[in-house]
Amino acid sequence: MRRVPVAILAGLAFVTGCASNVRATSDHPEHATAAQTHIDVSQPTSYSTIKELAAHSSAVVEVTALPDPSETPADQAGTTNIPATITQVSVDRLLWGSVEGDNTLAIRQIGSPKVEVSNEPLLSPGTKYLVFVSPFEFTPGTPTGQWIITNDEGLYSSADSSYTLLDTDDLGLPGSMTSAQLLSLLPPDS
Amino acid sequence: MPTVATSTVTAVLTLAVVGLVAPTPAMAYNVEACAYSSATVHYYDGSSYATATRDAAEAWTATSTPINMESVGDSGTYQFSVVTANFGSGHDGLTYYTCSGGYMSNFQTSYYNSFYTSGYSTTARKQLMVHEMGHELGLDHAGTSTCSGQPIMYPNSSRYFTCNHQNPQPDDIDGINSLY
Repeated sequence: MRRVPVAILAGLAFVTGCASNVRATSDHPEHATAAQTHIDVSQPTSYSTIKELAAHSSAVVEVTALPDPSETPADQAGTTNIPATITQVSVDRLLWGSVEGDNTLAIRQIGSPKVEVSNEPLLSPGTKYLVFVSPFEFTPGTPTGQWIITNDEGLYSSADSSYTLLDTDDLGLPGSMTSAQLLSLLPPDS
Repeated sequence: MPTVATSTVTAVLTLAVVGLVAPTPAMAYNVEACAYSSATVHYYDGSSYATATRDAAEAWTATSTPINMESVGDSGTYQFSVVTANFGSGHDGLTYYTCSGGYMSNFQTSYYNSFYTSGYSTTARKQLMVHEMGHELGLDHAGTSTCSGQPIMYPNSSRYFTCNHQNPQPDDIDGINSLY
């Protein structure tokens, strides 16, 4: 009968132990270290198709995020610790619907560079996106002049006439599509 | 140098490989990699919706988990508070928390966004706060739009308005039991 050194078994145990630790890092809290602040959000509803998402948006636009986003309290009274970030974007192409005003939109997102929101990134200056936008309101029916990404779902990165979904929640929207595919999925423009 | 039989090595290696590559049962929950240090969680309700908040806390306490939610006043230490504020259009609920060393700090906050919740029924407010308290306890979003098996940690309130879920679901309970 052949025999092998215990050292080999020890190495094997180390490898399998490491595998267990990798799983433990995601399942149990004791492996996280640095202090991090997060915001988790719940949306009021769900739109699982492009047609439905667009129908509840004012416009579908290709945009480029501009430099120097600003930070403001997220709540109307300014008494909570939740920040919101306002990013100016230039409208590169209107694909559906309409947006009043000039060629620049102020898009409001919950969170800030220091306070991350799970499942959706802040717009990054210089980056191109496809966004489904709706008016931001503190009072129903009274637009503030700022815009939000409809239901947090309608945010895609944009490159070479194709789009990749950035919302990591699985709500049923296409993960990627071309510009032509998007146009075929949009409802008739009113 | 001490040695062991080749057959023993083969058996251990087989088990190790199986353990590394075999598919694991699907887990329809996700965790934040952060939880409270104790399953007894004190909260302070400073919201406008006392019934909904109490019902949400009791829904978690009633689960087959170690979680025990206890309402306290605002003068002492508590793990999180529940507050009503107007965040405008976009979200009906929010939870703000800081994680350090794998544990939630004290004095976290979950919010009802009155832009939406002022028009919600008490039950709709409750399901929202059950969801937000799930974040407080360490659960992340999970699930799909299919109602069957959809956890309360599904990211939007269609979990209630479409699927009529207002309490923690089996996958939520599994997630909590993985943390506490």
